Amino acid sequence: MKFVIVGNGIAGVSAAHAIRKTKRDASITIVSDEVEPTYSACVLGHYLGEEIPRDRVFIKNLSEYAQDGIRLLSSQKVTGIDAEEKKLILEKADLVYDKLIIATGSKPFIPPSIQAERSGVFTFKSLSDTDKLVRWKGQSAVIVGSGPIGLEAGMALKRRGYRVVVIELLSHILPKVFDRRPAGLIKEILERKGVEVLEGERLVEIPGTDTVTGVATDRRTIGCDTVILATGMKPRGAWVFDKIKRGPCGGISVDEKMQTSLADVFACGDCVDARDLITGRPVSSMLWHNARRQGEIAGYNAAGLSRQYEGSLNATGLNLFGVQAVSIGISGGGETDGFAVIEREREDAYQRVILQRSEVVGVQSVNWPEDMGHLLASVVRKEKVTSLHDALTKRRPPLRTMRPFAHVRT
Amino acid sequence: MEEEKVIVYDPVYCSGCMRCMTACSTYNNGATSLSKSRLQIVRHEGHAISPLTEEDDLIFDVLTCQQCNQPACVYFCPTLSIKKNNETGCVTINHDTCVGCRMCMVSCPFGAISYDGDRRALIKCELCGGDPQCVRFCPTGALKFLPKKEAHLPKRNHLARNLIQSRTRAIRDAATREGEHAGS
Repeated sequence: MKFVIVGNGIAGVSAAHAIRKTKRDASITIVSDEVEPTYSACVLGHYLGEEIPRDRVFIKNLSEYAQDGIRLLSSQKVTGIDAEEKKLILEKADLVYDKLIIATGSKPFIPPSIQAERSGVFTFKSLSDTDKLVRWKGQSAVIVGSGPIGLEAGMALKRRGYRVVVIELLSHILPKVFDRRPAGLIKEILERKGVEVLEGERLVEIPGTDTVTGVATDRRTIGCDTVILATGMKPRGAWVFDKIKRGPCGGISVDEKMQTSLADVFACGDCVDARDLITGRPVSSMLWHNARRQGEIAGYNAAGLSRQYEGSLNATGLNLFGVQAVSIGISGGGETDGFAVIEREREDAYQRVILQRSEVVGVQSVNWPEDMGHLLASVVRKEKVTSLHDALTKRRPPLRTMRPFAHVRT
Repeated sequence: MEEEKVIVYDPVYCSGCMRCMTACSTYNNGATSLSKSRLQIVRHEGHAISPLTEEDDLIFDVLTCQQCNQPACVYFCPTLSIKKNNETGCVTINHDTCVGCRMCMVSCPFGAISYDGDRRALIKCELCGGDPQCVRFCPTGALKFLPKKEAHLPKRNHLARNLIQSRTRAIRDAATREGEHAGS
């Protein structure tokens, strides 16, 4: 059996390992357009902030691919697919497959109205982006977009001694992950550490011709020599998008076995719209642990072992200069109808539980990480509670396993 | 192959002396600091000032790593630094690759992983490499290190004892009632 995996991120590599575990003699090929072996995109902020050296971002070195019997075709672009002939078309040659796994990941989304092709404008997604930023000698940076990626980049540049301004279009930072109240607390922490945060401002243009001189928003012009566009991610893989069924968020549509609309083609990772654990609707998750799990499921199913994906769960942890902010499950509670919110506060710390029809669907905390694991289990089980005390003390069935968190061995 | 063993806590015997915690932090940190112990004996709140009843005997409990079969910490680790050893069952952190993001600490439902600010590292019970010091120094035998298939025995023994006690009590009561009956 010939297994071909497109993409060398964690989804692709997990898929390869799942196949190897099931089929010892299968031929496994990973096609990647990057040069480096698999790295953890979650720790690029640590590398940029000089907390860890560059070699610590890798989770697998090249010799380990050979040990596991995985052929890695690096720096190869896929240009198309012939699903009937089961052929993957590369720039130089074609690759025949029995089972194909698409794990192409995501790429930065840049608003089409923004002219970004000049030196000093960066995105913060891949290792090569980070390398460019590490080499860049700047002094003041504007981060456009205040999602986790934007804030991680901002905090890392702050550690490097930059002056940092973060611009957010919406009315509070981390709009997809945190509700207004905890986001406000996070903003305070950032400002205390010298990161300037501007909310409700729209980027109009990046003036300058060759190099960046500043950023113009609808309210002011900010002078700077570095701009990071952290305005979101979108699924990647244009070579297959017109031949495959896609979901509402723009990713490849998959069923619970990570099977796509094409026969013998599976997909996993940032490029898919998979089922959400809480709502049950297809969602583009783009989080590490979900990508890893989806990769495993896709690998097992491609290798003929029937496994079902439990669903994507948001679990975001942000380390704000030592203060831990956590969001699990759904956000937006208290600001839309049908939700109820339980809040708890103590000095410098905050916790909120979001309920929908008295089921726990989301938890957020700032500087209060202790109960999060407990509440995470509540979110996974959709426990019915009426008070926070309930959520924290309710007697539960055996806690020995964290189903649906099946565990990984790589 | 090494047999999988687990730490078993028996609240009936625990006196709350916290010697396990001292032993743990001394062995694993080289200095005694209760907050850095990987196993925490906790006293249930609200009992200190109220008189103890029979039920309140079990006022101590232990929080430590359960060496889960499907650990949440492993699931969420972004650098694949946490692994479960298939032979010993022990879940360990590889500090060479861990970057300290604390997702494991956040996701653990037992609060068994904590952050050591001095060493800038996440710490958890790793069974002291197969000879848990907490068990070694427990003076009452409340902590035991048992093969996994025997881990349920302390609980079963207690239940059996309770059952026998209540049965003998019932028989004795019946006998006394009968005696009273005969006497009258």
